[in-house]
Amino acid sequence: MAVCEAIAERLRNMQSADVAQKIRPETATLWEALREVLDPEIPVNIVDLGLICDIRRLDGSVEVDVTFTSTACPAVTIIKEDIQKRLLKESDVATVHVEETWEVSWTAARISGGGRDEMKRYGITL
Amino acid sequence: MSSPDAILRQKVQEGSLIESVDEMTDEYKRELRHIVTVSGDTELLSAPAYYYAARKAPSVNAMISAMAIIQDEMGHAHIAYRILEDLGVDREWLMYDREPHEFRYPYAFDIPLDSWVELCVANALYDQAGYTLLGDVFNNTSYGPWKRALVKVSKEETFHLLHGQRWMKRIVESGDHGRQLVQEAVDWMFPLTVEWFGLPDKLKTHSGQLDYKMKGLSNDELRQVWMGEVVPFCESLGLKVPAHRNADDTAYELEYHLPIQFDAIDKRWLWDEHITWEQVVKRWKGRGPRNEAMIEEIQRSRGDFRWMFKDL
Repeated sequence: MAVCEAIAERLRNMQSADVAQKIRPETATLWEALREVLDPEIPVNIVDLGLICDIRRLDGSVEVDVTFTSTACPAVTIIKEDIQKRLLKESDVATVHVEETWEVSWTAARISGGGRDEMKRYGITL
Repeated sequence: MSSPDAILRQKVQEGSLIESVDEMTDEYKRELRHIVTVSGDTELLSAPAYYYAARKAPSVNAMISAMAIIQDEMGHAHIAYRILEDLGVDREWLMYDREPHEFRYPYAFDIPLDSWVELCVANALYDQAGYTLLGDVFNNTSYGPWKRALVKVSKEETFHLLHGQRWMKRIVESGDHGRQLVQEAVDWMFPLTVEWFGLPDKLKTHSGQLDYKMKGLSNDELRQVWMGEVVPFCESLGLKVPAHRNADDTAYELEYHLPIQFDAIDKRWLWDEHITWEQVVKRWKGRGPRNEAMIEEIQRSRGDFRWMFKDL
């Protein structure tokens, strides 16, 4: 558990305040795994972009709340598929349910510092 | 004493970037106008070509994805036409005053995409061709403003490709019916995209675009890059394509002899009916079935609906 807390702490330090408050030790490795899933339009990972709103787990089943940068995001299906595919690679995950949520309004404030630096490299400034 | 044009050619071959019209010779400017016009027209015409099939999207989310791609393509055309404006070409003329046959884009877009399946295969095959061509321009072009503009374009094209590939996979994995539909689309679109890269190198004695380093790779080299992506992808889905690695494993080779006759109405290749490249060029220049309708859609705001736009 100490290891999970250490991972959670490291991730929290990297993320915006809104995202950081949702990162708990029991889901830290899942947040870490989702940092490998890139947005299909801008190659920045979806955690640093602030798209992941919450992750809950009960034994082997995982629920992910995800939002998008706009209601007309063209990449909804691809992102949801990629979340599922990545989390199912974790040995202790048996099922993944990805839920779209609009209760969290996505704003640029949800993007991490690292995400901003990455976007700048692609010519996008915020 | 070298001519200004020879000096410029040497300068760009050594890696210098051209940043303004003042640095160009007339020959450089003419070649640049040509290649950027082809690029802009290709982006622009992909919009009505894709829209024709996007109307048959199987869900709202699918429709949103297709419309986003179309919007991206129009944005890319805007970038190219904006560059042409700096080169002294009038944007209004580019959009509204040219005849349908004067637009310079691949013949493939003149063949109607009649279904969602065909749109997805087009995203995977045609957009891979666009990505190959623009990727080469980005890596090698001597025109600085174009190179920088392509950072955004390339990222968006990656999404179009991914969209096509994911949908192809999904449809193929849905069962025999889906697999057959995808295979049928690949059967006519694969050779059309092979043609996309133009005449074979052995028939091109000279390329101003390479001399001025507007791009870096020849037509045949670009075709190889494209096949290097598309052939393994199609094979990974169990689809048949008429190309394979050669005996030395150094390049892809086609399983048919170019060029062959194409039936644009039935969308099928007449594999045994060999024609000349002159006949192919004549087909390209004569344009295909959807050329006029697509240009009419684009120019509509200056045609029947001009009265609505008079103050804009």
